Amino acid sequence: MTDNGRPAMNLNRKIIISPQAMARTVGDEVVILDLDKGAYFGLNAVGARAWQLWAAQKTIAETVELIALEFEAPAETVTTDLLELVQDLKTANLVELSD
Amino acid sequence: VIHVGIENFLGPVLAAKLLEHCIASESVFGASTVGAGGDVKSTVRQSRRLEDLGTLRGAIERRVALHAPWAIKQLGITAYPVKGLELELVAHEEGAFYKRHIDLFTGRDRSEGQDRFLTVVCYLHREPKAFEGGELRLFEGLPSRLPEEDRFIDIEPGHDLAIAFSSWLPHEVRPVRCPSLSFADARFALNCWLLRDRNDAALAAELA
Repeated sequence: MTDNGRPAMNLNRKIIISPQAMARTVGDEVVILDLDKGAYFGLNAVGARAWQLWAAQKTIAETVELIALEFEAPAETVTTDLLELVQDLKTANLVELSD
Repeated sequence: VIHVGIENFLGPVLAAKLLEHCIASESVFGASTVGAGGDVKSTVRQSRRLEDLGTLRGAIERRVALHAPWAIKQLGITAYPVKGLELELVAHEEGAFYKRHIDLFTGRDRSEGQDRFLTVVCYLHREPKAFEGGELRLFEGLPSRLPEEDRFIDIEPGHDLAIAFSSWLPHEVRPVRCPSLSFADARFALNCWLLRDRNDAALAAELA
């Protein structure tokens, strides 16, 4: 378990983008369209980079490593933020985790 | 990047033949429709459309297939295996326009089998150009921004110039002025939509 009571996530898993999620890039942001609901989901620069890396089939661990490097941020902070984002996207049915 | 432009999209010979086909087909262009139900709404869209591309369809499909992969990569949009191509010709005569919209149906309007994911619009007109206006206005459409604050760019149509963009990028056609009122002087557009099967997963992206 993690400090917030959630089960620990295996960082070697990949993020599978749902067929109902369609993305496009605007500047350094990414906009995701939920086709079933017709709703939009916006990602800031860090989230946008994570989305690009997931779309390129990088694992969560690889994504953390690359983002920490590119944005000069502590890996622990990046891990926390990305897991929160994954959870939000999962709740919205826009992504799933690989086995 | 929210759009890419491709000059000489069809090439001079095919572009000339398609323009000739448009002009010769004046009597069979019908009222343009909007939405999944195919309704005619003249307050939203005024133009005439034609699905019949005659014998040119195969050559046009090959040109779209040639350019689409590059456009998808440049745009950074989600890419899917292409499972179909929808084509139509649209004639924008005096007073024609199309208010802000997207080309993709979502929610309850979503089609059962396939979704559009890339729009390519190729313009055709006689030289010299005999209409004014008709710019393609592309909006960034960020959810973090109010619609009235949305930034946009206007693109002037040019003969055999194609503009490719995500099918859910908000866009509109600015009003056309065509003083001669001659159909042959209209702003013609070839609309192309790449289709994917509804449950197909995205193709693995290449990292920039």
